[in-house]
Amino acid sequence: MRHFKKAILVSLVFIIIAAVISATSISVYFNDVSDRKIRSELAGELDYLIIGASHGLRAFVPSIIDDNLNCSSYNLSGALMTFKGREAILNEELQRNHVKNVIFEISYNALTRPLNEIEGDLHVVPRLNSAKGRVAYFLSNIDVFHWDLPYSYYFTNGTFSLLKKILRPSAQDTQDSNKGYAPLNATDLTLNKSEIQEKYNSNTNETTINKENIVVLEKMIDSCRKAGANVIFVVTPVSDSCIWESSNWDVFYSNLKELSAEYNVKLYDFNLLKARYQLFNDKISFYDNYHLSNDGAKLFSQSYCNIVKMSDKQAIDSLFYSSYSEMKEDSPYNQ
Amino acid sequence: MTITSFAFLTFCFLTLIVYYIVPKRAQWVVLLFSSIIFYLIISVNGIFFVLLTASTIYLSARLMQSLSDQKKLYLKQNKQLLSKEQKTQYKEKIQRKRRIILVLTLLLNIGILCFFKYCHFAINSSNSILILFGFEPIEDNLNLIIPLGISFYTFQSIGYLVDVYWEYYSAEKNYFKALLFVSFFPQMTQGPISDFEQLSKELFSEHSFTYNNYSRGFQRMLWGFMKKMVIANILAPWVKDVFANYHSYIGLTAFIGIFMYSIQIYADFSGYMDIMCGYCEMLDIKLAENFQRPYFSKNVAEYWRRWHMTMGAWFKKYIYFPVAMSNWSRKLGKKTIGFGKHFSETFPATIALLITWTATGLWHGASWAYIVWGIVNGIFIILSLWLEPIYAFLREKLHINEANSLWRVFQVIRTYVLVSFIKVIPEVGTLSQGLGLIGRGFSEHTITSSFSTLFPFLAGENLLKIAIAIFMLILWIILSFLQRKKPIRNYFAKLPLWLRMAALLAIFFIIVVVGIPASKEGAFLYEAF
Repeated sequence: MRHFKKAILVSLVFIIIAAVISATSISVYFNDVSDRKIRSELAGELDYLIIGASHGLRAFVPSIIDDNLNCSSYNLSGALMTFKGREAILNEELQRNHVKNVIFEISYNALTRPLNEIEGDLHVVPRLNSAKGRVAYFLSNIDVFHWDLPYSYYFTNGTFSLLKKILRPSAQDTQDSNKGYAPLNATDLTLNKSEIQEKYNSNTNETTINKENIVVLEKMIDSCRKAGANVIFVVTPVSDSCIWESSNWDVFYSNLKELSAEYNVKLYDFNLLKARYQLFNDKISFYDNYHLSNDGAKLFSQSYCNIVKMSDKQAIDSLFYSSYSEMKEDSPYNQ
Repeated sequence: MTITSFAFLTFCFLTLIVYYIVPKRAQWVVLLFSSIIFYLIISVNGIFFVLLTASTIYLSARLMQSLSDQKKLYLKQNKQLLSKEQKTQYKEKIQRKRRIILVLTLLLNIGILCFFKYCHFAINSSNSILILFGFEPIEDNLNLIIPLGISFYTFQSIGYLVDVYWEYYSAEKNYFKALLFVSFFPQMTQGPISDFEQLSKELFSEHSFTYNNYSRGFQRMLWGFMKKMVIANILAPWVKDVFANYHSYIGLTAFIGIFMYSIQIYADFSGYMDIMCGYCEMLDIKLAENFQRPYFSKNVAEYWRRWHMTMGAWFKKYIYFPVAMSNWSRKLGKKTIGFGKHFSETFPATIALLITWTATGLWHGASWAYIVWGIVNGIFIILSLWLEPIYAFLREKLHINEANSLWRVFQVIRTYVLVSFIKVIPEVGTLSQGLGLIGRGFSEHTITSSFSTLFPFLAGENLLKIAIAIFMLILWIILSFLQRKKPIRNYFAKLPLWLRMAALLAIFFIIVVVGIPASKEGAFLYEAF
């Protein structure tokens, strides 16, 4: 019994010390998540929200949207953000802002991905406003047997934040002055002659929609409408080479059109914008096949604003291709 | 559920609690249930083969034992009545029956192992020959999934069965105890390959909880997690990259990849052993050790006495000695006495070693690369036997003092380099790829001052991870040196509690920061066996 008591006592001491160190580090990290602080400062002012995953995070420049649409926007998107994560963050902002418009960024695989994605979910947790909300989201979305990765992530980031504070106390915290938008550099993705031939329709996108995502999507649309906000589906541009490679983009587009019709939501697929080949090119507009570069994002955001303004005054269907197959015929790789 | 997962830790913790709560005589039952549950979680289909192996060896051992007992009883009862010839005939008759049981059971279990492990290899090899002679190749539509740990538990069971046949000890009467011996989960997936006599004493005796076992076991587990998750898993992607793309790297980088692999596999395998031995220590169960600082060996033979020791002991006991001590081997030795004593002793040993090392290569993997790997290891050991008189002559002539530290350092480095090169032969892919990697180092002589060319994996955030891994590796090497004099745990136990706690917390947090992200992809290397 004596051995047992000693083992329990020493184990408890070890666990408590580890827990205290971990809690200190994790709380430093959570405290440092600037997105949450900035959104809190802007609470009550925001009326135009963008919610999506990394495609949205790298595409919508709020400053351009604010200037052109005379609003106060915020890009709530996050890398690998699942629909559950989008719902959690969106609901928080709907509750404390008088939101008029919400862009749902829907990429080619947003609806086909699993509902839970640890990496996406662990980025969401520190962005939620209340500790109770963070705990609730963590417990309901991250399986207990996968707690090791979030623990490692938060602890590591917290340790680095703590070290930075100790070693460089005068250093300014990085402020996200882009209202959620995260710019990327450009990479030349232009295909050469042999690649054009090799890669044409060489793969397919996953098209089976995960019904769990639809359930959450419906709830999000419902929440927006109850809050008096208008919902818009937007597909951000991907590179020409990305479209060139996959043979079944029209399946994705047709699924999305069905959904937008079912929920009576406007849909703008900017891959199908007729001006895309003048606006975007694989040389400077993209970071990789799926994400816009800073230059590309600025052009895209401006285009988005133009399209929204025009759509108020006239029909804009003629500004878009009716299908990806039609669009591919005008691709520079098809010349 | 991988060994480095939170789920596995939870499973171990719960087993530990139940193990010490139940009456001591029921502790082995807890281990049996845990082992079955463990295997069911990891591989539901595979449990059938575990049960088949356990059942067949149990029945066979009992049958052989009953024949032995029957023989002893009969001879005792008829001691005065039977002539010497009659007794010999009777013994031979019983032995023949026992041999038939043994052979049939071995054929069944080895057959299952060979089917799962070597079927594709056999088909591919046959197809190479068929195609060469213009025949249609055999279609290989079998999608076989090798039952987890089959190589380990099959060999362990064979060892038990052969020991009963040799009458080293009596067969286990309790089926469930035999099942536990076969399926004991800490050694199921990567060994050690235990001896029944040693392991059964540990498994079936009563165990009391002691703080000493608990804390030392925990320390060892933590150290094992560090080796696996921090050192092995950080090196893994870069080794994989060098192996997959060696033709695009300069020779020096190829060499670095080879040495990184030798560190990776040692950290991986010995890390696993530390985790399992540490856990068993918490259960007051002593598992056989598998490593004894192998990279400090002075020659290849010594290396194999220190690396994967239980596998080496198994092959020595059940393949090498039976072959080397067999009648035909002795006759061969006698026939070759005309060539000298050294020749007559070494030649039969050579045959036995070649057979043993070919089998060892095959056990490790179903490919020609593994067979060649095994034979190459055997050749180096054989060469050292044949050349020993020459080496002794040269040492005397050159006045080499074998006790000299510099000479020992030379031997250790030489052996380390040699075994590292031999190790990679089967690990790159095919035999030609393995030899290609080694050849790259000797053919691509570009010397570069470019750090990024030499060490392509040292970029950006990788630098911190590799720095931590190297730091822990250096610490490990230093502790291994200290371990030669006295077990390091004895040094550690003398430190004040706060210092021990700080050291363990430091290792814990290193695992959290560096090991957990690195481990998301890395399965244990020996699990595939």
